[in-house]
Amino acid sequence: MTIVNYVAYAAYLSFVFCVVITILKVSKYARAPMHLRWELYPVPSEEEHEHGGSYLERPEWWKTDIKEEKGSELIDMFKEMIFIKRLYNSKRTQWYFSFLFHGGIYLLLIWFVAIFIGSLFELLKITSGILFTVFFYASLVLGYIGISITFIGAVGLIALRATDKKINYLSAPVDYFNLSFISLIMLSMIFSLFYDPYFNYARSFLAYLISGNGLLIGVKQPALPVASSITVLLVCLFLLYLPFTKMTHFLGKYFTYHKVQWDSRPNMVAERFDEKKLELIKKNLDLTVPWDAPHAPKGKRWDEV
Amino acid sequence: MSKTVDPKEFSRENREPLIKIKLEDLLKLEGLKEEPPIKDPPAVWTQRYDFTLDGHAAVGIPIPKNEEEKRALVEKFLNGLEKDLSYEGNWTFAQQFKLSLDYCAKCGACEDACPIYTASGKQNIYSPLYRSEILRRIYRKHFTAAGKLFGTLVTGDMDETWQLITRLIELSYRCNICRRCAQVCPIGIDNGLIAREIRKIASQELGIAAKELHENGTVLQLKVGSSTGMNPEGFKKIVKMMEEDIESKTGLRIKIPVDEKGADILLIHNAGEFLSWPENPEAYAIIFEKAGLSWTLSSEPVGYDSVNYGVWYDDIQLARIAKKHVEIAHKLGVKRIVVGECGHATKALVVTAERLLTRENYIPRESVLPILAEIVDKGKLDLDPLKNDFPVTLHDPCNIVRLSGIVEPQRKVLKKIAPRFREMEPHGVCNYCCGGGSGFAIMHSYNFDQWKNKVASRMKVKQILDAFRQELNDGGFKYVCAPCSNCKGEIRDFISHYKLWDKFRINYGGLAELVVNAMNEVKNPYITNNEFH
Repeated sequence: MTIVNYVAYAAYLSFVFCVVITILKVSKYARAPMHLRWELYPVPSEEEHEHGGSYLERPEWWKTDIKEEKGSELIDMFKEMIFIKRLYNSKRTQWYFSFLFHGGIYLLLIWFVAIFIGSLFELLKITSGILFTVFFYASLVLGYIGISITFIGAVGLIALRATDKKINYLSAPVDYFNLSFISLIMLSMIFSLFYDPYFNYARSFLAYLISGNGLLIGVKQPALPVASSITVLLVCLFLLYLPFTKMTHFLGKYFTYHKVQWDSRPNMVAERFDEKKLELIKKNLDLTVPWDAPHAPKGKRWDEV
Repeated sequence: MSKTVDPKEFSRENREPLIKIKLEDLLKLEGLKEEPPIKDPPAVWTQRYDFTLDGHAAVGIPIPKNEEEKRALVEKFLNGLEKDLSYEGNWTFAQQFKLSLDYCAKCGACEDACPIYTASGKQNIYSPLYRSEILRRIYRKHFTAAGKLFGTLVTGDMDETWQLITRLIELSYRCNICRRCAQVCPIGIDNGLIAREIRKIASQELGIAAKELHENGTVLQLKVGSSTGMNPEGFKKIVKMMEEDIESKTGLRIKIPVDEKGADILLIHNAGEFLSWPENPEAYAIIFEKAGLSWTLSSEPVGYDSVNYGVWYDDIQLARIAKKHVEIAHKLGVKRIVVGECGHATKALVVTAERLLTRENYIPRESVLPILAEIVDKGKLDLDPLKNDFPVTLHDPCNIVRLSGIVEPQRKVLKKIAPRFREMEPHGVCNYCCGGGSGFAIMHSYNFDQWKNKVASRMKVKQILDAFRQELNDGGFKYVCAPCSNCKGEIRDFISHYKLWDKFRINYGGLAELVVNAMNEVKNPYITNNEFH
């Protein structure tokens, strides 16, 4: 067993662990009973969304065809995901660093895809051609910019948290730790660039993982500089930690937007019932009331309250 | 200068208020030279009830008599929180509640969106983030693996005292649940919902709620028929009086239909209208009759009062009242329920109750505003807008706009009948609460009125003064149109407090009154410009 073996095992394990725990966490939210409606306007999928309106502006709305404008929902979603529009409008100082930070992470995700494709080329012994060149240079541009701005964003957010009197006294050590952890990974990546400026070792190591050779002992191993090994191990630790933190808000956001704030669909559209919804309601009303206050009908079904 | 109270201090046992509201800290109101001073609460209250949040009380939680009572308060709250986190115990809101507890990044984007925080001079305890963070710390400590393993590294430092609980419950009644904070949150965290869930835990587990919402609110409504205390006989007498009133004011003889089986519409008003602003249901009686609609009121208990205070603090009461409304409509055999000018009642019955109804008891429900807009738009009434030749601004009730998406109908009406209509800024779905939201409009216990007038309503006072800036001191009549009973109640209170009628001739009222005032058929002014009530 060499260090590269250990690093490879750590990479496999942390990746699988992160994916499994994240799926479990998401499924926990996804399995929640259908809650009471609690939408918040404007709802972009509504036809009347431009002025913040809803189908409830129509007399006898249940007789009308209530269309869902998925295109407009997607546009709003992307504005929020890419540009963090709400933060831009409501807290500009925070937005500058937040935008750099999140933008950097997005670039690093795309960088990872470019490295992944590069490692496939390596496995397929492709060492030239337009696609090879495009992905090679794309990985350089994305990697260098992504690492830099994620680092600047994370450090900036730490500095803001520490100096913003409105939020620093409410920040627990973990709030600093999360950003510091990411900053540390970025620093380690910057350090690794001195030994692997073209990400060649990174591609070879990923090819080693993808091929499954990383699971085997005794097969030929790629070279991996110590600095890169440390980076990979830090990323592994991060993957083990990530699912338990609020940094998975990218998943939570799907539910807060799509399943709460934008969930305005009624049970009846054009005088036809949504049978699925009615089933879920029936199921909910069969649950028993557990509350203890004198007026609470403890033990009764919601249908009987 | 406002004082920063850290969570540790918030949880500390002592008898002094964490903050003191001072006039010099509050949002400045341009155009208003003086306002009543702020008074301290009398000792007779502070010795018996916990006033240590900000020297005011909405709920007035009695100070526990011994250690056992103190412990029970904390334990019961934790039991309630556990139930509120479970999908079975809280199927109604657990998903959005848990999301809001788990994912806040504490960026503080929500703070400046909050009219209460801003108007208070940015007192940190009123920030949406602060209130939620107090609950999040309790949640993380008791209900997350990270909190149990790593303690204060994850939860932050805070003691677990009885005053942590009493102050937190009081603090949940310093939020209007207008959800402006949720609207600006990049992650979609709903700190307004967290305030509501704190109230709910207190109500459904500890039996603690604002008296006006529970005992004199939903309980009274379910018992006698209305949170105003009005019983069916009283209601029928008022309907008779309204018919007489319509005739004496307008010369029109209108028979108000009550319990008309098989009518198309069951119209349900907030019963507060019948007592405080009968001109509003009278206006609807005139408009609906002239438009030829088939409609009726109900004299069945609960059927003549659309309010559903449960939407602000208690899911059990919310469900009970919504089901009662629906049951009455079925008994009358109407085709739809129409909710009068009342924001929270619209939100509760038209939106929230949707997922309490099964196929068997489903009945379509809608707000009266689109119907009114259609009547005006289609020219079913002969209207002369010049009869409303005075400055009019529109207050957007949060429950109507941001929470139900009904934005344009009221504007369509005003643009047709009020030539001097101007918007407040901001308006529509970005509006500010009147200060009476989440039940504040009807809550008058202890010195809560003082806090409401000085802090909760302050942003709306500023908006109104700004909307009438050009004519503020011209001595002319001005009208704040508020198509919501609770908003009207709050606006009435703060107009009196700040003497806006005496100083600037600023009055208020509903939307339907403006429509009737513009009717050519109505000879005398329906809106009188020489009295405030």
